[in-house]
Amino acid sequence: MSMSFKNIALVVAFLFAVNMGFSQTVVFKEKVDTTKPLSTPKKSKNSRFYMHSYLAAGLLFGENGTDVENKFGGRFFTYGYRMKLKLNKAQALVLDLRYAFDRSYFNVDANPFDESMRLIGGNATFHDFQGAVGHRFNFDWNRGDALGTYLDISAFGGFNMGSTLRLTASQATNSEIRVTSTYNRIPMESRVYYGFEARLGYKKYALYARIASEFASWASSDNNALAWTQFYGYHSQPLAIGLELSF
Amino acid sequence: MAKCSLFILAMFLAFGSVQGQQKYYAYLSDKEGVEFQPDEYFHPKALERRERCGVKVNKTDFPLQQAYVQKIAEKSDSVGFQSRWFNMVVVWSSDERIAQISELPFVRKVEKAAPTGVKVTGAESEDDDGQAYLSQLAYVNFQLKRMDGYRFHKKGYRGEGVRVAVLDAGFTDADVHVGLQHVKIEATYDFVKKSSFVYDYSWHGTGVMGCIGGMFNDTQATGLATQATFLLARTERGKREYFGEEENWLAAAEWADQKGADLINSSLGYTVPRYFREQMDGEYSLVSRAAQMAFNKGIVVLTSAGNEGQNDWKYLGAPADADSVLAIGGINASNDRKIGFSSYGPSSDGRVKPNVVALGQGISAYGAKNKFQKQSGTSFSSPFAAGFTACYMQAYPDKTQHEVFNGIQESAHLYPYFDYVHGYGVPVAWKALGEENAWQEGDGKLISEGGDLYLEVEEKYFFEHLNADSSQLARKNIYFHVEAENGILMYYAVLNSSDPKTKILSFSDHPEAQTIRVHFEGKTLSHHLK
Repeated sequence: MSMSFKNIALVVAFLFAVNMGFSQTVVFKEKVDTTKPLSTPKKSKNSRFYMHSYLAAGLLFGENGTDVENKFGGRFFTYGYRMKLKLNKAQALVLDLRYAFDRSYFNVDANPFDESMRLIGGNATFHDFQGAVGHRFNFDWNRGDALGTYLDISAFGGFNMGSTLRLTASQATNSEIRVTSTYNRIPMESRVYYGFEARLGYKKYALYARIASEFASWASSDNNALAWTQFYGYHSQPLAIGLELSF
Repeated sequence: MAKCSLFILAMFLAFGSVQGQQKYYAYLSDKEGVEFQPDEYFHPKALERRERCGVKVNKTDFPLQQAYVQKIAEKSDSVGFQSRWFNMVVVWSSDERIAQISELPFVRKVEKAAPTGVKVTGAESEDDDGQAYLSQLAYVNFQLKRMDGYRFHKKGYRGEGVRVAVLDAGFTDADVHVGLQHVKIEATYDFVKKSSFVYDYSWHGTGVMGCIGGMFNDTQATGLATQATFLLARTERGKREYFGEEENWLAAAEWADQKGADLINSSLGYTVPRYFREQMDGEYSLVSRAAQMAFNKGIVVLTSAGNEGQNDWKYLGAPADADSVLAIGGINASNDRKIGFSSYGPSSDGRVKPNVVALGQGISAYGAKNKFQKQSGTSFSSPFAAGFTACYMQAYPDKTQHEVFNGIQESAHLYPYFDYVHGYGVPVAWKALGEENAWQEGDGKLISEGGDLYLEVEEKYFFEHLNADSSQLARKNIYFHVEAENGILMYYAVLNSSDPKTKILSFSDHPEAQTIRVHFEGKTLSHHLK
């Protein structure tokens, strides 16, 4: 009995406390920085530091370091983060960190399998981590709080995290029957590469291009399969041209 | 590497062709030798207004020295609008040529006119064929009732004799809209297309006109100034454009001055990307300086605070930042408080902005093709206040622009209390006319107890406060602000309470506080700490 009375008392006390709590409600509130009522936030586009993410995609061109002939349509995709350090109205430093995905398509002459199969296509995919440091030239000095129109010239470096070779063949007598071979964990001659890139931007849009001068290329290995040997020294196509969208 | 170099070179060349001709403002040093006949240039109403406001014709009203303009034209690609007020000419020129122009002895300074981001401050809208509009009559009534506007009408104040210039993005079908047939339109000009036709391009101005002085079925006013005379100026190309031209606003303001405008309503705001927040000091942007000059010429200027309250920009834009412009914020009809999107103040130099507020959400206003629309935005708060101001000016025809500016602020329901989202509150006619309100001011006191500040309201008023009807929504809100030593508010809030004794704050939460003010039921109480 005494327990139940205690419980009731607790419930009443609780309800009373809750009721007290809800007797007034703050329906609007705002805190102001009195020393600087209106200041541009750090994420503002033309502030000293501006960080934002971006997405770029486009096409790959150029030689791949082997006799294998790339088809038109190699593509890249990058997603990264950029920090802009404004030096003055007209110049800034830009630092990029990004993931890069490159995929090239090619024709190969050699049959990777045996006489009963006919090769019908293939592609090579590179998953890279890239960093870039560059200089930004802004052309509209009176642009206000905007990215404006700019040209970035940067040096970039990359580290290959992995790559894949995929070859598809069909049966010589019946093209409906296909076999796809995928080579993963491909040994690398070098995983590090570098090059230069440029970006012509207008607001959040940019025309982007990069060219690699050193490459992450595939090494020879114990796997001396017929198809594999011709890819010794293969690297991603060096020239990339595409569009970039900043967020 | 060779390919890379070629590519970069190509990009430089491509960019070079984008650069080239730019727009500049060239400010001239004097108007030597220029003759001016005010009686020929100004409409008699303009001279009347200037006399009333004690504004004398001076050099800023004179046209530019055309010999100077001619010399600039010879050195530039082309010249455009010439501002009498700022002795300025718009110049299109290359960087090279503008350097030569800036060396001319009569050129005081040259400014580059960068792309701007203008936002017409209207938001969502829903079309309506008029039936739903009729069903919303109670709401339409409330739009005016919240300002106690019918008191003006009962006294015969409907803006008669007051000239209202509306600067907007277009006035589609305003000439044929059933709710605007009674309106007197004195003059129109499209400063974008340089023609007198303005009844196209955007419904926005049509909606704004309806909120200033529209009337439905010859009986139901949708704005208070149904007998005002309108001057319509189109100054912007569209609902939102990045290359808006502030000089169109300036040109329209000078035109409004010439045509005798007493009041300008501009539901446009210039913010990002053209400006930084710090530049919202009323002196930086051309449009704010133009609005200030219009006021100096005797014209009362009202502009919407903006719809940036929930965006990164957050604060008001130009010309709402100008010192003598009445910046109008938006409140919600359901709770009498700031609408989420209504822009925050103060100005970057800490002045009170917005100055006053009016309804701005779910507004029943006009659209194109004789339509009625449910619209939201501080674009519609500003014309409600403009209609109110026109009636006020009819009621007090001898008041100067300064007196009208102060009068509107002092007519607001929170005055002398203020904050940076509600300003001084909603202007109400009973205050404007110095009459008694339907409900008495509440009585209460501030009590400091155990490190906290409480508001204690007499029970009689407290229960009235709880039971306030929709026309007295303000009574439900308890406003308080904390002022720092430099006079800037460091904190402000609105409370709802169901207890006659309401805790306002703990002093320990605001160690820098200088003064705390609390407003409830028309009464402002102060507590000074230092």
